[in-house]
Parts: sequence; C-alpha cells; structure tokens
Amino acid sequence: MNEAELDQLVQRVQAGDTDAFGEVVFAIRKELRIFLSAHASSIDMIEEVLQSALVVCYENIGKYELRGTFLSWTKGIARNLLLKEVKARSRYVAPDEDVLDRIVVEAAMNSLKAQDREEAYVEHLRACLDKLPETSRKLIQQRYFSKTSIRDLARLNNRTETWTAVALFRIRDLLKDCMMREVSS
Amino acid sequence: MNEQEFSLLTEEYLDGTLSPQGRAALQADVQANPEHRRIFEEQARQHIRIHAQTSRVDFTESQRIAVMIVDIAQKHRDPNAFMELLRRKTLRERLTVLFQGLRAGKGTTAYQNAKAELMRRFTPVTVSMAINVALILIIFCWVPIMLPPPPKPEGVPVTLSSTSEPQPLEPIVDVPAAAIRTTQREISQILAKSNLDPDSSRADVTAPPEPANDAFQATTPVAAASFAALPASAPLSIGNIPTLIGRSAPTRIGILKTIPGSDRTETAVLKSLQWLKNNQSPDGSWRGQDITAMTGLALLAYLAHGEVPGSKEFGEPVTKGIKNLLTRQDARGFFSKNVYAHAIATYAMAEAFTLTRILELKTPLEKGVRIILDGQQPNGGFDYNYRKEQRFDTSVTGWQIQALKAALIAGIKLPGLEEALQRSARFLQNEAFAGDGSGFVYEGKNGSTAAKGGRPSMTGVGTLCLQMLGKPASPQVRIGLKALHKAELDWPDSGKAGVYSGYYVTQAKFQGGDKAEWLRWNKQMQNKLLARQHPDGHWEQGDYDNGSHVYTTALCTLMLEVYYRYLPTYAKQPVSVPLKDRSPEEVSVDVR
Repeated sequence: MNEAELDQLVQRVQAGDTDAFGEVVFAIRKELRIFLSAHASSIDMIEEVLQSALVVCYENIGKYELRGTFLSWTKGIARNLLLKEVKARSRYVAPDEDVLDRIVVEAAMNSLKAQDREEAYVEHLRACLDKLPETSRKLIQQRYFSKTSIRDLARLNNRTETWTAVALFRIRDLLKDCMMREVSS
Repeated sequence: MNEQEFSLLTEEYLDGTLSPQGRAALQADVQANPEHRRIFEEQARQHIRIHAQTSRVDFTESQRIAVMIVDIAQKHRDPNAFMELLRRKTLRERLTVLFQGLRAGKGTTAYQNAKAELMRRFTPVTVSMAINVALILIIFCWVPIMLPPPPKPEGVPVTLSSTSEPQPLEPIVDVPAAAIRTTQREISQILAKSNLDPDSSRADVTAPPEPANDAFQATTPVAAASFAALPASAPLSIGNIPTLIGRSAPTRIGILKTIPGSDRTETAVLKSLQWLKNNQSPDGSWRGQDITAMTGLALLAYLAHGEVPGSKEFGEPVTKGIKNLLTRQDARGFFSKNVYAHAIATYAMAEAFTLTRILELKTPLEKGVRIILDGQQPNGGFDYNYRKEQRFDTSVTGWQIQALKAALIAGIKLPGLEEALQRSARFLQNEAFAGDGSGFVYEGKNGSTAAKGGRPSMTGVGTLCLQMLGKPASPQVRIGLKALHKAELDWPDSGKAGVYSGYYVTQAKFQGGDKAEWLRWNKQMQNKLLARQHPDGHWEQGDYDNGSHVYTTALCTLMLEVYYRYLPTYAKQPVSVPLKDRSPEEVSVDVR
C-alpha cells in the first residue's frame, strides 16, 4: 500500500470509521516491526513496543496531517517509545548482573547512536534474504518463519545441533555483509 | 571455548533454551574473548533483524487488535470514567490534562474527554468562553506544562542483607511412605496469623467494591486506564519459554490427547472458567476471604489455560481482573497488606506480563517484585508482614518464591532477583527441611535447621519450590517426594477438603518424574475433582473457602490444568531420527 492509499485509510479513521483502523494496523505492522528491529535489544521488546505504538497512534490519529507521511509519523512514535524502553532496560541490567543481556542492551543503545545506518541496514535485509540460495533460505525459513528451536531444527534436517548453529552463524554473517554492500552501493 | 561450542551456546541463548551452566560458560567466554563478544553481539542483532523481516502479519489478527483498541478508546470517552481519572489528580495535573486535550485534534480521545469534562462543569453558554480562556491560558502555561513531570516514586529501595553461607547438610534418613492428610487443624495453624478479614465470608459477590484503605489507596489509575487500551491479542512470548509452551491452544490440545481422562478434565476446566466469569464482580475482582488474593488466584486459573485479554471466550474477565489488580497496588508497590495476597497478585501479574507482553504491566510487576525482594529474610525465607525476625514461615515463603520465579520467567531483570531465589533454595534445603527427614516444616527459627516436624502440606510446598528453583535432583526433593508417596487428595464427604495441599502436591508429583506414582495420583485426583464439581462449574469445601468458593474453584482448576501449565522440567524431546555426525566445517552457505 502506498502512502496516498494509507492516507485515505487514515482519513476514514479520522472521520470516525473505526473499521478502517484495522486496515491501517494491517498495513503498518510489518513495517513498524522491521523498523523497530534496527534498535530493539530483544524480540520481546519489538512486540511490546509495537503494541504500545499502535495504541498511541490511534489515540493521536486526529493530530496527523494528511501529507503522505503517516508511516514516518508512526515510526517517530515507535522510535520514541523504543528509545525510552531501551534506556529503561539498560538501567535494569546492572553492570555485573548478566553479561550476555548487558551486551545485547548495549548494542541496542549503540544502534540508537547510529540510527540512520542501522535503519538502512534493516531496509536492505529483505533483499539480501531473497538472494540466499535455496538451502540457506530453507534453514532461515524453518528457524524464523516456523519459529523452530535449534534442537528441533537439527532433528528436522538430520544434522547435529552444532552443525545447525554454525550454519546459522554463517548465514547471518553473510546477510550482514550483503546488507553493508547494499547500503554502501 | 572452541567456535562450535560458542556457536551452539549462542544459538541456545537466542532460543531462550540456554541452561544455567551454558549461560555461565558463555558469559565467561565473551568476557575473556573480545572477538567472541563482538560476534555474539552481531549475531544477536542479526537474529532480531531477521525475526522482524520474516514475521507474518495476519489480517484477521490486525483487525482484532484494531477493534480492541477502538473499543476501549471509546470507553475512555465516557465522561464518568474520565472524571474518575481526573478526580485522583491534583488541580495542576487536572488543568494540564484538560489543556492538553484541548490542544489535541478534534477527532482525538483526549479532545473529546476534555470537552466532556468542560461540558459537565459549565453550561453550554460558557463552554465557548471557557475554551477561549483555556486557549489563552495555554499560551501562558505552555512553558510550565511542557516541563517534565516530577519523578514518580520508584518504590521501596531494595536493601537486601548479605547472604549467609549455606550450612553443610546433615545426613538425611529416608522415612517410610506415608499417606498425606492435611487436617483442618493444620490448615488453621498455617493461616492462623493471616491478616484476612474474618467477616468477609459474608461478602456478597455482587456487592460494589468497598472503599480502599487510605494507606493503600490505589494510585495507578492512569496505568490501569492505559492498559485498557492495549491489544493483548495472544500469547506472544511463550515460544521462548519451553516450560510454558503447553498453554498455547494447539500444544495444549496435543498434550491433552496423551493424558488419560483429559477429555473430562478439560470440560471441567472450561465449566470452572465459565463459573468464575459469571461470578466476577462488576469491578473485575473476585470476592472471598481476601479480594486481592482471590482475584490473583482466579487470574492464574485463566492464564494457566492460555487465556489473555484478546481471547474470545474469556478475554473479558482476564482484562477486568488484571485492571482490578492494577488499581489495588499502592504507590510503594503493595497489592495488599496481606503477604499471601501480595505474592499471589504479583504472581498473576508476572504470568499476565509473560503471556501478553503488555508494557504497562511491567512497572507494577517490578514494584511488586521489589516489595518481595525487600521483604526477604537474610537466610532466604519469609514471614508474615515481611517481618525479618527469627521466625520463618514456609507457607508464606512458597507463594513468594512462586511469584519471584514467575517474574524471572517474565524476563524481569531487577538487581538481586536471581540471588534472592538462590537464597530461598538454600533456605528450603538447609532450614525448612526437617533434620529427621520427615519433610518440610511449617515454621521455624532462622539460622538453624529444623530438627523435626515435617508436614505433608509443607512438604508439597518445599518440594515444588525446589523443583522450580532448579533443584529437582536434590536430596530434599527426593525425600519430599518419597514422603508424599501414595498420598491422596484429601476430600472427605463432609468437612474441609485439602485443596491447598493438593495444589502443591499435584504439581510436585507432575514435575517429579515418577510416572507410575504420577499416574496413580492423577487418577484419584481427577476422580475426586470431577465427582465434587458442582453442575455450574464450581467447587466447595476447600480448606480455606469462606463461602465465595472462588478459592476452592481456582485451586481445583489449577490442579486440572497441571498437564499444560508448566511442562515438566525433566521431560526430554524424543530423538527419533539418527543424526548424521558431520563436521561443522562441511557447512557451506553463500549469497548469490
């Protein structure tokens, strides 16, 4: 759906057509989720902030001016909520509390400092996923589309867990390289 | 650590299946190896990015989320509800809300609310004048209004005392198997020091809520109101928590197919949940000897079934119940003065947050958890009123541990939480477990191992809690299960039934891993509960039931939900396909 069509839906919502809001949610959820993944420190955080962003979006939809920028407007709401959440999370994770969680939260904090670069990365990830060869894409599909655990994934593909983990590591590395190439080009 | 081990542990971390030992090893590795730390960070970031790219967006679910948001937002426009919200604010805060509302666009909820409030206060003739004056005032007030609000109280600071070192265990002597019989006297003793209101047994289920005690005036109306607008459509996070995946409908159905008699038990559970729905007070609470505790228990029964605010059949009572609990929390974080009720409410809040990931539940949950952390005795136990004197109380401790563990599962990361649970495990092993091997005692003195006096009901508490705390193979659990061997759910034809004990023993046996013993217990438990359920879905006779039957019904329901509530920690995934033993070096992936 393009921005003009989205604005038409928003206009219906602003006029009191509550059914149209369902279509708005459907149209923007995926984009918002991808946008949030540029900075979130966990998958749970994406879902939490996404829900809050949709609520704030609805409650303030009357303030939105129809200029073809609704997605950017909602991303702004989502970014503010995410920033707040990442900062709060970084306070919860004390320096000596949990090294692994702290690393992930710090990475999220750093990603906020390099906001444009991180957001550009995620924009190109879809294209990079499409470039994966069939076997790798299948593994990614099983891991993420089907939400299969590493243990089940190994069993499903008749491999060891270690083999599966190493394969996923390498796929993610290659995707990262691809994203960087796409951004720089 | 070599690359393969590192890869596997990182993958398990991302899965949420990393064992404590694995976590410790991975932590040590990333601290010692900067390159591994960099890779770990990058892999975690990529994992999140790919997840977002590959997640599906379902049109029907989007519609459902939208309907819920719109529906609740419209309810917010109710002038009475808005007035109630304003009533709790200071004059300055009230003016700020009204002015912000008027500044918002005409189609917004905030504008509608502000206008409704002005209409209520002034005649229509003066409304336009008021709006004009308000607009002028906005100009003057703009700067102060835009100032950040004063910081909210952060709750009781956590000041845990230093932990005592665990004492070496005395040799434990096995005891002969004994049948479990929780007597009325025993239950009375357990609950003798409770602060529960004895007169509340006469409370009318349909009666309006009583005014809150000044000291515990609900202080979170905004949180409660904003929660109401959230689209908690479905369990979102349980996929990362192996022990909770049984609650999702497809998994639950699959599990039940393997449980003998489960077609009848599931019907009983549904009838019970319907009864609870029919007997929920208009304010969202459930009545009984303690409203907060009963509301928490009823919510736990729904959440165990995977019911969340967006659920078709039971979404409404869950939503109302959670909102009611939120309004019961005071500024310091107490859901109730009663130590049992506070823990049960915190437990319910933790499970609700786990299943819904509603952000507005997190702060109240953390506040509730902080109260418990702060109330823990140095040795790891708890007592009534969170006293930190010599006495400890195993029954009180059991509910606090369940709440803290649920908060940990919910992903709450408060300083001292994991240490508090470790301390409680040491307490149960070293102090609450009777030296004569008779099981766990009801009460004792801190700093010394109870010599004797293990009770069946407390043995259920101690055994289950140690299982939850990652000590399923400890000698105390082994002996606890042995003491409960051949036990039966105590349900006489007349008089009180041992549902308190049954709640714990059912879970402890289910987690215990002795299949034959579990099947025996399960059969008689099912038979008794099914036979005693009333046609409308409720149970009576519970040892602590004051006549509202919510207590008995909630605990019996939780017993029958045991099959999918927390999957057994001992359960292992069957490996039916032989694995090819290939080297990871053979892994080859590329990008076109």
